[in-house]
This record gives sequence, C-alpha cells and structure tokens, in this order.
Amino acid sequence: MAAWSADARYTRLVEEQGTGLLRLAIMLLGNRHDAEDAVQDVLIAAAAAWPMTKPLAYLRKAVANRCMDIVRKRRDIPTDVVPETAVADSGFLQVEEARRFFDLIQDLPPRQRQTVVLKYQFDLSDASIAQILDISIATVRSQAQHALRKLRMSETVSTGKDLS
Amino acid sequence: MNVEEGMKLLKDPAVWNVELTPRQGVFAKQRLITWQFATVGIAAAVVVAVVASSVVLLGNAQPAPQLGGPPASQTPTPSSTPTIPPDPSGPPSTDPLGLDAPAGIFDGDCTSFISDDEMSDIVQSPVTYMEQEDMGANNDDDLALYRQQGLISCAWQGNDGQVSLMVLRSEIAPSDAHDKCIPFAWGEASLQDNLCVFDVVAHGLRMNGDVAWPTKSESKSIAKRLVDYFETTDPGDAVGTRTVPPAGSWDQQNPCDLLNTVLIDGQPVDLEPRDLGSDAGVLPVIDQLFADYVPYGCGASTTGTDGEDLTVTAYPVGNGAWQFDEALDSLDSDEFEATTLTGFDHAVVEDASHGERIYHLVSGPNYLRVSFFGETDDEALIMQLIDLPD
Repeated sequence: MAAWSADARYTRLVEEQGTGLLRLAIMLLGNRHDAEDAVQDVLIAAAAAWPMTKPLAYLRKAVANRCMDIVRKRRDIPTDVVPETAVADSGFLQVEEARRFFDLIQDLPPRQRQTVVLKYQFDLSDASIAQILDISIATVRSQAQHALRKLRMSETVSTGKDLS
Repeated sequence: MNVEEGMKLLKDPAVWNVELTPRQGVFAKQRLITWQFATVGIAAAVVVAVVASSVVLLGNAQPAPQLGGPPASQTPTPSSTPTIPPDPSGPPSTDPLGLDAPAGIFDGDCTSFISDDEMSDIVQSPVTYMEQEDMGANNDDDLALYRQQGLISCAWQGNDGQVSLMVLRSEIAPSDAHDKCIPFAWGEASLQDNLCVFDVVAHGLRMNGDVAWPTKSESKSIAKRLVDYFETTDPGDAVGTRTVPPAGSWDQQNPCDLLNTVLIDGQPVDLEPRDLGSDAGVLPVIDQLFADYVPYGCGASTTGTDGEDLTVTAYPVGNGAWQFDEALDSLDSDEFEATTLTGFDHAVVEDASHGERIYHLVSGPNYLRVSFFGETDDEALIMQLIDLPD
C-alpha cells in the first residue's frame, strides 16, 4: 500500500493528466458520467500496476479500451443531450459551436471516433494511435480519412455549405 | 466553421467545463486501499486459519502459548512452520456418472470468483457476445460472454492464469444467478483452450468434438456438468424443452455425442460434425458461422464506403495462418494490408450499407474470430472460433 500511495509520480501524473484523460473519455463516450467512471477505473488499475514504463501512453490506452468496453456494454444509446445553454453542473462544453461539433464526432462509429479523437484532439501520431488501439497504422489512417469525410459531409448537411 | 476549426475549438481547454475532481482521485485511492486492506485481511485470515488448523492437527502435543507471547528475541524456526501434506489419493469420488473431474474443477457456486455486480452485468447484458478487455494492468479479467438458445456461456481468465467457464440460463434473474450457474474451472488450462471449450459449449458442440475439446478429462467434466444442468433444469422455467438422453445411452467418451442428442424446442441443435481438416471442410463452417448474420455467404461481403463492392473471404494457408482475400481490387490498399493476416492480427472492414457495421476479423494459430457491431453500438456482437487444421 505504501509503495504506490507514497509515489509522488503517480499523484503528479493524475494531477497533470487526469483532466485530459477525462476529456478523452467524454469524447469517446459522449457523456460525463460514464467518462468519470471509466477514468476512475483506469486510475485504480494504474495504481495497482504502478509503476509502468510509459505511464501516459498506458493511461490513454487503458482509457480508450475501457471506453470501448463501456460502449459495447451499453444497453441504450446515450441520451445525455447537451443542453442548449451552458449549465454549470452538467454542461461540459461552454460554447455552442463546440457542442455542435462534439455531437458530430459522437455520430461517428466507435473506431473512427477513437481514431479521430486521439489524432486530432490529442495530437498523437498514427503509430501511437495504432499502438493504443491495437490496430495497424494503415487502419488508423483509413479510419481517420473516413471519419474526416463523414464529418465534412455532416457539416455540409448541417450548414448547407460545402466545406470539403 | 469547418472540420479543422471544429477540431481546434474542441482542443481548447477553455471551452471545456470539466476537470478531474479531487473527490475522484481520493475515491480511487480509497477503493484501492479498501481492496488492499481486504487483501491483507484475507491473507491474515488465511494465516490464522492455517495456524488454527495446525493447532488442531498437532493436538495436545503442541505446548499452549504463553500469555503475552514469546519474548521478542524468539522467532519461529522453519521446523515449527505448520505444513499440511497433500492427500495424494484426493477426495472420494461422488461422481454419479463415473466421470472423474479433473484436478481443480470448481464444485460449488460461482461467488468465489465472480462478484454479484459482474454476474448481474452478465445476465443483463443485451449483447450476444461481450469481451471484457484486459486494460493491461492485470487487474481485469478477460471475459467472453456468449448467448445462444437460452444459454449464456461465460469464459474468463483470472489474474492467476486460471481460466473459468460458466453456463447460465439467459432468462435467469440476476439475484439467482449465483445459485444457478454451472461453473467450470481449470487451474492449468490456457485461455485458448478455454475459449475452445467455451465456444463448443456455447454452440452446443456445433463442431467436431475431437478437434474442439482440449482434453478428455475436461470434456468429460463438462459433459457431466451439462448432464447435471439439463437434468436439474425445470422444464417450466426453460426457454425450450431440453431433452437429455439417460446416462448410458450416449458415448461418455465423446461429449459431442451427448449434445448431439439434445433437443431444444423439439428441434436438434445444429450439431452436425464437420470436417475441419481440409479446405472443403473449413469453408462450409465459416459459411455456416456467417450465415445467420451476413447474407452473402462465406466470408464478409460488404460494400465499402466508396461504394465499391468488397468481399473478404477467409481460407486457411500453411503454418496455421489465415489468409484473407478480397474479390475486387478496388479495396482500399490500406485496408487490404490489414486483411492479409499471417498470425495474430485483425482486419476492420467498414460496411456503409449496413449502418456502419464494422467487422473485426481476428486470426490466431488455430482459430478465426469474427465479430461486428450492429447498426447500433449495443446491438449484437458475435464471436466465433474455428479450429484450423494442422
């Protein structure tokens, strides 16, 4: 017990990366409640496995995998509709445009959503994403291309403008 | 706002109203500490139990401990450490069918290795197949769940490497699941073996038993358990009426023979043995596996996102590898790269014509796994394992 609880590196890692991991989970799951559970489960597991060679990569992969598990186990499609106006205790996005684009990402299939979030939101390389998702680099690229194409199409439909 | 601008906007922490609160971190630590205290407590309880047992075994010859304990300078010697030699003869057999269970067979309820919450998740899971992935921390079990014809088969591997298999009636109430499950456990079996067994049980021995069963003793044990299960099933509660032949009317050395005779709703389960030793035998099996889900027959046939026709066909090649071939050269080269498999790998084939269905084709040394999401994320997901020919 003392071995991990006294490890300042773990505490610092959680403090520095915890919110980013939570944002990652929210983007993958679409709602904050599931995301908090996912991050918490991962942090518990990480603490038990601590220390690890590449902790941040480990945590991102674990969050991505945990979110995938939750997606698979869901009985219902998320109904956590983002409110029209920002609400301090439930709205996790405070800008309307951001909320709208967030919804478009949520409409992507799970693998595409994972890929595009890791690639464009967390600036991970294709190789890193491939490692996290246990897929080939080629698949990462193709999934990202498909995702971008769909996002552009969705944006065009919703705004009436051709943005591609 | 275009896509790039949208991405950039979401990257801005200022638009987010979230942070990992201290409560979550503290709670995580509390759970871990609780778990660790529980572990310590269990360990302490085991020590106490062992010591108590040793006292009982050693009887009055053991001097009574002095009040206050021994002086601090005194430490136990190795010779004083209580040991309980194993009984080489093992427990007396109570097997009514004369089938000897292998060592390590779990004989009781499931509560010792699966929690109420986990059981509830399994019973209530809406998916046909669920795989609980190990997050890499060796803290989560690999869990495979399969539903078919009123049964739920569940297989997982624990932290100690032990794999377990369990069969449930799918309509069972979560609160009763622990009492009604049929657990199997092997201390030394590999996950792969377990999955083979799991697959066979889940499908009512759809495949040839000689190929699918890991060992004779395990297969006999499973057969016994299945007999017990079917014999103790209340027909009124069952999804279908299962007819089980009396002991002695089937080949006890071949559990496949037993389940070949099981009827569900008066109809035999698809138990036709298949020759997995040749291409001609394998492909029909794949065809059968896909038949209920993919109307195109053998392999995964679909339409790509660009509208091109895409047919992915799996066939065995040398050295136990699977080769995936695609019928048309219009397949995205990146995707094609992923579909050429020579060992553990997978292919993700997107199907725009079926509601963004994504097929996951995973090949192993002796199996092929195919799974996909349905039109919604939580819809049916299937897994199939196929033994490859040597």
